[in-house]
Amino acid sequence: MFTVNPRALRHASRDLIRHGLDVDDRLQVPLPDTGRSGCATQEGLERVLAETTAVADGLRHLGDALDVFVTTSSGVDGGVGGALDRLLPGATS
Amino acid sequence: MTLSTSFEGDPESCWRTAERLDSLAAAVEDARGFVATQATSSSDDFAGWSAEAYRLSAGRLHGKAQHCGSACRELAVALAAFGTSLDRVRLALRRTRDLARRHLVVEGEEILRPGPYADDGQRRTFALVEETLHLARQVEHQAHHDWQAALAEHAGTAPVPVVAPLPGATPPPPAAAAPPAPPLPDPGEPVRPDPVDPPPPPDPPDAADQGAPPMAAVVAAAGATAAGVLTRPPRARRPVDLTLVAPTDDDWSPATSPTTPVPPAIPIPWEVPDGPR
Repeated sequence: MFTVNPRALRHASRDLIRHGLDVDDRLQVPLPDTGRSGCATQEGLERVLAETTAVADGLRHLGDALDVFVTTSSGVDGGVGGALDRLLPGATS
Repeated sequence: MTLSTSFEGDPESCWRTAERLDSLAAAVEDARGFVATQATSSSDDFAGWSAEAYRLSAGRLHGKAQHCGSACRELAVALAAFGTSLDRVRLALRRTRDLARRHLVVEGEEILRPGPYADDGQRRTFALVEETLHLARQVEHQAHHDWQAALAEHAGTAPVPVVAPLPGATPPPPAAAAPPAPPLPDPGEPVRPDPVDPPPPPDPPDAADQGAPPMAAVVAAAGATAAGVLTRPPRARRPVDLTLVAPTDDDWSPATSPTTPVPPAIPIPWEVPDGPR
């Protein structure tokens, strides 16, 4: 047995995608001129922005996966526990 | 030996980047809050294995978003502080250079040490410039150290190597304390003579100092020089022997009588007048 509220989940998936796109839009951070700390600044900001990019991608992927799951589950009665595993490998492990 | 007033960096770009990082941190924080609600949502709308997997994924994303948002926020604060410190250093260097241009020789961004003919005012100005630049470099050094330490802590860059402090540097203040701001000399203000440095004692009068000005005149002139007016002390008049000697037979000059008016003292023509050195 499982419970799915398609309306609430679709709303959640849209919010997840919206947050992911919002973070993605603000990832355009210019590299400052910090003088002799320039190398460390570039390396540090690139690391932080890479991690933030991964978070933005994760938000959008989770939203997409949830949307696909809701679409799929609406036509399937039960046994869809593995559907999210196919969409998000390792999610249930 | 010269004093360099060169400056590296752009505080405005640091502030712009800090603002963007702060905006990014706000977006990540909003996303983290939403993901947190999804990770702890009730099972009324979503229950089952897939729901547990969804909440587990949301929980993982929440941890990453929390780490990234915190890193962006901390780096934004540190970068804004770094830009402020750089701006103070830049202002101190610029004012020091302006002050040096009025009293010393400045070539580009290099301030030349006054030569052997420099007066006391120029020497005091150079000492003040040297001290100000030293403090400014200390603040700049500390600012770079703090910024790189913030990068190492929040972005995972290489740890800041422990380097020897600048010569004459004071022990670093506590981490919570703000770096000391360098003193900013005002080019409009005159350079005050060093009150700690007493005026040199008067030399005993001898034959070589017969024509030297009195010490009060020297001190007054030094004060005027230090006040931004480059002058020289008034030169004392040399005593002229006005004793009339009766002409001899070998003397070709026309005879004079004691009633003839004596011309005033003639300045020595071969004496090099003092000018700007």
